[in-house]
Amino acid sequence: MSVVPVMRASVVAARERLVEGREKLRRRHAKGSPGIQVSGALADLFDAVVLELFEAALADLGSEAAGETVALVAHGGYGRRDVAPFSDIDLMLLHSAGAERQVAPLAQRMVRDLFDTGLVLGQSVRTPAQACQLARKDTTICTSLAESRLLAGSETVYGRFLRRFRRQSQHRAGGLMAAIELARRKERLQYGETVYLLEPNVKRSRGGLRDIQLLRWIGFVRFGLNDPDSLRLQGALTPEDHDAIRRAQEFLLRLRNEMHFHAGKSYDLLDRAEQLRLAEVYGFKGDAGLLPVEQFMREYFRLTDGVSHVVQRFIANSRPGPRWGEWLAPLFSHQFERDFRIGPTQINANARGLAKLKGDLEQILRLADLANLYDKQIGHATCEAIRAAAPGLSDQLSRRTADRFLSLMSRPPRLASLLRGMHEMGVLDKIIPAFGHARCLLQFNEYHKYTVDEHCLRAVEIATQFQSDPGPLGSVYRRLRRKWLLHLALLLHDLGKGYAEDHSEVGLRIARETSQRLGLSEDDTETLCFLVHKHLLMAHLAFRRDTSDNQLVVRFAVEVGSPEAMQMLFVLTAADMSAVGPGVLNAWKIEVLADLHRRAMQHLAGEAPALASEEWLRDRRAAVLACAGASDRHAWFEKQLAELPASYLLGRPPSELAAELDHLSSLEHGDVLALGRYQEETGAIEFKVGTFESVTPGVFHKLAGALAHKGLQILSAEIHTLADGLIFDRFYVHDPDFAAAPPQGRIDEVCRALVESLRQPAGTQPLFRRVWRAGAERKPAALTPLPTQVRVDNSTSNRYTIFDVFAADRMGLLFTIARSLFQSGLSVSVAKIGTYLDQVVDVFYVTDQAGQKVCDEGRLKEIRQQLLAAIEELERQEALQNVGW
Amino acid sequence: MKKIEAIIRHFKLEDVKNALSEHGIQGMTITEVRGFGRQKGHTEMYRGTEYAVDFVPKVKVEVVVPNAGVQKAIDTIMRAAQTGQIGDGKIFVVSLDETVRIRTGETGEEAI
Repeated sequence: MSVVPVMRASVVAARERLVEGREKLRRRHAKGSPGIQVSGALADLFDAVVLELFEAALADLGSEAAGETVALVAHGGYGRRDVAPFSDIDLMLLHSAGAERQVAPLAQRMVRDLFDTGLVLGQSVRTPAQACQLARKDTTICTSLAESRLLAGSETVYGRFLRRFRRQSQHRAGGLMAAIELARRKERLQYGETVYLLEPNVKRSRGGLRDIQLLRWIGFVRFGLNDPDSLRLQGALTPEDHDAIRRAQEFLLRLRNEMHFHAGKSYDLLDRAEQLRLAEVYGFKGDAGLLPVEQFMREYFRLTDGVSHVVQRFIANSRPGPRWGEWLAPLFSHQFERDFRIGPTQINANARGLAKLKGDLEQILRLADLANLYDKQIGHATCEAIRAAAPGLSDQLSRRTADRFLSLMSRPPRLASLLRGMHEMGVLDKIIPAFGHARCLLQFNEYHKYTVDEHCLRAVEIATQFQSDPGPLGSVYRRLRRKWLLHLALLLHDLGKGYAEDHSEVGLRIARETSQRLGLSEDDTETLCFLVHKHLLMAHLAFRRDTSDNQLVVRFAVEVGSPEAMQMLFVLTAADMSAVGPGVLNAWKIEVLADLHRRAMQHLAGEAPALASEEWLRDRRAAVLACAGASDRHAWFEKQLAELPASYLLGRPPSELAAELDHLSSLEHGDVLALGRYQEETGAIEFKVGTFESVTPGVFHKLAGALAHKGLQILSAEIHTLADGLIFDRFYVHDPDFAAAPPQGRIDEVCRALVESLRQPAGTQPLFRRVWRAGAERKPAALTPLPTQVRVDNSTSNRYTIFDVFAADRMGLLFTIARSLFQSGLSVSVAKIGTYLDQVVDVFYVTDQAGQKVCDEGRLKEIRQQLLAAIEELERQEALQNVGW
Repeated sequence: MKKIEAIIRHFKLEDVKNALSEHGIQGMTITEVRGFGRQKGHTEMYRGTEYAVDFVPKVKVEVVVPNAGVQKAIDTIMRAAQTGQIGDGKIFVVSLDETVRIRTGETGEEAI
């Protein structure tokens, strides 16, 4: 026996009507009818289908009288009449108490028939009292019922429900609003908390249709009105906000209709494939820097971003009456300069302050700076005043405004959230105009999760969070002096995106403009431009190149130029990667980056301070003391060990260190100790010199001169000033006269020369011998030598000014540099000299004669120029000599 | 069918990936890993003295190939990943019982 599907004629008719109606509306939609009209027409179509079936059911069941006791109510999105082609429809059969028996068959039949037509139904059968009771318990039911609409049946029953529901909602408005907000927040968390999620759900993600509904519900609870138009008339919504909501609603409704019609089913996720399709449907053409899909999504983000802000604002404004906290606020807060009131969690402008804020960027930044300093949120009303004033702000920056901004940038605690706030209020564009272009700019690739503006803000946020990071990133970040420069670089680093040209090049121009606007010094400008221009350099090298190749690391170090810039680049690279999306920066990547950073720092600063842990150093010192054995000089040993730099302590076995210190401990003032030893494994001779500072001024350059005079090539050198003015220098040299170990006599001769050089009266200049040997003539270098550079870093060390000198190697170079520093009246306390093929990287830690850092810009410039001139002179002489030979 | 697991220097990944796709190997899985072999972890040469640091970051590449293609795949990886220095990594070849493409249910070499 076969089962013949029997469907009532009324159902078949309704089904056909639905399919045909939907198809007709699809055509209307394709012709460009506004989303709100198509949605309204869809609701009409659904209404017609539902009513037809309802009437047929009443007639068939012979219960026309039920019309007196039953009301058919649409609620939720269907109640609101903004339905998409394949939306669910929510229906409630409302009946008076005691009519259950009559209603049951009607309900059964309606559910079955509606199901058969292909509509997706959410149904319920309730009395007005039950409905209100459920709404009390369940926020979702409550919000859905707030959008009720009577379709058919008894107006009396419906009226009874509506009055009771409205009374109840407004009676407990406060609690209800909180509950509604909470439910929405939970949903948003699930579907994407930031607007800038790259695959948003048009209904549920932040700024989506649900947020417009949220505004309606809050409006209903608070004002008894749920329609944006009425809310505007009431004055609850400003005309601008109303306009933003209307435009976004139209865009989103049409978008969702398009997505449903195309999919032939309910489909709300704006995934990548759908974005590409829609960009084409909407006719975006793209331009040199932006793909069509990026333009489309920017439009989407701009509108949803607007919704998100309007709704937040609306909710904040709708919170009922002054709460106890606000009454008590004056007791727990204090006035700041008569303009602002700083409370336990918030900072607010008073009437006088508000007046100042209007139209004055400097005052706005003053407020932001204070909020950052005291780690307080800026109060809602104050934010509103700023937002209203923002469009009228001049984009001319005064000196004071720029200073306020830089002061704000220097403090981590609230920086990121304040910058984000300023961006949302439209203030940030006035300071950095390029930020306007990045607003809502999507990066259509598999890699980035956020739009450009959000990515940059996030990068700043992540950097400030390194403040409490226990790893290498934290220790480097915490030591940075000019954090503001790093923060600014992060804020700018990707703003060059969305143009035809390479974004690093555009970024460089933006960095330059910004520096000029903010009136940065030459040095700050240079660092900022470097960081923005080269923000991909370190990641590229660390992940794509062999970083165990020393030549590569040296080139990198030279390109970065100073220890401070290197540290900033390290933190910037990590923050940039982390801001791409969750999980992009992991422990593995940090390790690879930290490794390159450490290697490069060894060339730039002589050591990598961040990576030598205190514990490790303590162990090492203890081991050296143990090797030294018990002696009456224990305290002296301890004192000297405390002064030895980490690189030195870790770089050799404790027994060797103990032996060296033992030699030094017997030195008297005025003595000079020089020792030499050939090292089989490296083919170099090591000379160690110990003496006291007091022996003669300019110890270092004199020793370097003596070595050069003897025709030795200095491969590397370290000089250390220990406790009590004890100097310990160490040179690794190559002797071109001997291919293998030189005879002891030669080593002794050099040692004597070293001692002599310090005892001789000053002024004798060594002559550099032209060296004859195979390969001594400079081959045209395979790598073009980088131009001579001198960089100054006053931030990395507390006690010293650091000079980094990069030059091509030549005989007498070290002597020339050391003498130039000496003649500039500087005292070299620590130096590290490295020669890598033909590139020399020299690091000097210097102080002036009073033992202070050199901070005067003019003086530093002078010293730099003298150094460059001296090296140039050496170069010239070498060239002359070559001609002569 | 064999699964080839290659532990390589991380910066050689691009080269290995390109070389493999040139030789018609379409899919691969990449994992960021840490470890050490005979190299005994990371040793830092500083003025002639070594001190041990930690596990070394490497990348693990996994590809599945038919038996006939194993030697070619190994050669390709070797050529692309070699620097000649200690720490170039290792290649492991594992026999594979079965492969299933989840979408279609295809099995064996069809599914690679």
